[in-house]
Amino acid sequence: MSDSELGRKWDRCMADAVVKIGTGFGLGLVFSLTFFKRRMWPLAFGSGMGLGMAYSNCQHDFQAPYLLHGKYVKGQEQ
Amino acid sequence: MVPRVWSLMRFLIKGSVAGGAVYLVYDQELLGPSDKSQAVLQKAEEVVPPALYQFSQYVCEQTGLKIPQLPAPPKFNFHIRDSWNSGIIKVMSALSAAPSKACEYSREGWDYLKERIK
Repeated sequence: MSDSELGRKWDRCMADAVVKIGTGFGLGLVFSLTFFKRRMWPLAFGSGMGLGMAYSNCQHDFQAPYLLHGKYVKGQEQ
Repeated sequence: MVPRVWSLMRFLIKGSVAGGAVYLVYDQELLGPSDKSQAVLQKAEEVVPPALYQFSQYVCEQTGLKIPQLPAPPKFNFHIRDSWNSGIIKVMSALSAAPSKACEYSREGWDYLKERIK
């Protein structure tokens, strides 16, 4: 794996971790405010789930170096 | 009768808020593959600052307040990654060359002492 590819993978991992932890925290916040009487455990649970999912994605990314990552391009209507 | 309807309404409102949040996460695939998350983060970086600026302008127009213009933050031309990498490389090359350098310096020191003793 070249240095640039390794750097791109680390960038992807960090961005993924930020998004997933933030999403888990946000969902935990919503559920804490709506159903669980402003307790703290939904926030911790959501953040922890996001962190775990990000870690799992990073692990798969580093252990499968031959998978290509493409960009999604919307097809134009003819 | 009215408290029951009110509690039912409250439950429906809370359920719709929570369900909307879950649907938003599912629709934007925030908990999906890392490519999508990176794309969402890039899109947010492009969209959020202009939106915040427009919102602040709208608030200023409505309330008549003027937000003071903050000076631009200083730009640092310091690349942490490059300096960290070059530091690691220098430390490792110094460690790998340390035994041979130590032998050479000790031999030179020994020769110097022998010269002085003569």
